[in-house]
Amino acid sequence: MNAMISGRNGVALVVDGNRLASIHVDEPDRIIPREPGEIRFLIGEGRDFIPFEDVSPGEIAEQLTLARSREDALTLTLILLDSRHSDGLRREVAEDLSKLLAREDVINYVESVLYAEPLPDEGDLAGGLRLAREAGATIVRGMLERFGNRQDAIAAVREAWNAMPSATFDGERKRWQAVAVREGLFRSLVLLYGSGGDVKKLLITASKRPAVRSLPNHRVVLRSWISPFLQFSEQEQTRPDRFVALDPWLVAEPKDEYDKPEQG
Amino acid sequence: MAELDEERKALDRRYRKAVQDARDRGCEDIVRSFEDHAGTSKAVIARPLWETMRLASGDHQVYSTYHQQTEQELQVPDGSGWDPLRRVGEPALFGEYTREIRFGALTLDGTGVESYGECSWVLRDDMIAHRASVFEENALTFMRRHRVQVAKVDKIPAGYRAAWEDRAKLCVAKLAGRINGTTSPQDFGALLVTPGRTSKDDEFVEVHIGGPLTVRAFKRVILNNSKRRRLLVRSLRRDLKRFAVPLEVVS
Repeated sequence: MNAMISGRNGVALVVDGNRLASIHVDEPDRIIPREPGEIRFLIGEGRDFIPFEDVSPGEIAEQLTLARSREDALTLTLILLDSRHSDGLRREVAEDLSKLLAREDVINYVESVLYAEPLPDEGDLAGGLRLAREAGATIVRGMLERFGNRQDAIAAVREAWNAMPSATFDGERKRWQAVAVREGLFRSLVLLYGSGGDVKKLLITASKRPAVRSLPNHRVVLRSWISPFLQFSEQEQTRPDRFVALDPWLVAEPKDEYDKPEQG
Repeated sequence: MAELDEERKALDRRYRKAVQDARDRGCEDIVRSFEDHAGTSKAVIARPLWETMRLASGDHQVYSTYHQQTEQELQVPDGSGWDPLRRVGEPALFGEYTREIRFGALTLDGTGVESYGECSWVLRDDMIAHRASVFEENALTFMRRHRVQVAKVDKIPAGYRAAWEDRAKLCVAKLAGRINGTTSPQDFGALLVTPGRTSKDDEFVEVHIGGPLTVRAFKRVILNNSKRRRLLVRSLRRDLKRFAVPLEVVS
């Protein structure tokens, strides 16, 4: 069977042959048959549905639970960074967040979203760090410290993304961004650029992801995105004033190792 | 205009027939009482906690900056294995007409169709009356029952929808036949929203609201207990309070 899973809605829309059904995160062992007329209520404003193909009910339930943990962890992180909430609530949030972030795939997801944009001015990182420290939430503190230390790299990667013309995305900028964030491409590029690593490794990482390979112009977009950092690297420490993709090889048809599909 | 007039006339015929039938069965007074109650009914939308939190956060920058990052339109993948879901996404659901419609149910006590989300948003009349209408039941279920093709949504028989101010009349036309001499006002709420054996058998009067909803349209929010997410609930309560929207948590 196939399924579209939303962590935010806590629901999986299941397609099994000609039948529709749903699985809900609070009762993951129960498959509820659905009529077409019910699906719109289950989708609502949900914009985080991810497709899974040829999966069993058990695998759907597992992915749904993970998706819910990821979204809850992200939301709790944002509450922790929000000074409108009381210190008491934020301290408890730090404690709870520790448990969720113990899973590597959860913390990676939260960082994947956080690293897609610099913290807005009204974000209270210092307060979040203080409360995580007071709560003894070591893993949360570590995540926030890394987030704080990488703000410059996050800003540069976001700037490079924004500088790409809309035409590069073939009219799919929003979809592209959702996939790039979800698949951790912003995070990967931030880590590579921020540590002085080879940003071309992003091409290898990204090209192994089916979700990325299914996007229009994926090679052109990725090469265009990393091009400012290659210039930066080649010009040795002189950061470009404007991020533009000019290098011809970057937009040529690829023939190198970066474009080989994942084997096996 | 002529179509609207025909809708009203057809609904009025159904309504008068239902009242006459109640009179013949000796329960007209109870049906009239039901009509009065239905005239005070509210629109309710059942949605997940997350969606409620998104609206209650208002336009707070930290929240929206990061939550928007992963948002995209629903993309059903290629391949025949997805056909049933893709068919759902055809014009009747996501076409120009329905894209801007929010779907809810009429309620007397705030109860919505719970299988669609743990939060029931009870909406303020003054924020929706000018842009809401009511329909006999789930519109797609109705079209299937009456063999109306989704592409011919304009061929829906007249008399099964009403403007917001005429919702009591539609409720009487639909439900008076289920009222008898033993029906009491305490039963009226369950008449409007009747849970079925399965979710596809749920019965309700569907509300169609044109245009977007914000937290300012909420009169109150009822949350079915979500103990495992207590901190999110506390955060939600705080955010709703800023807009003077009470949160009721029920077990």
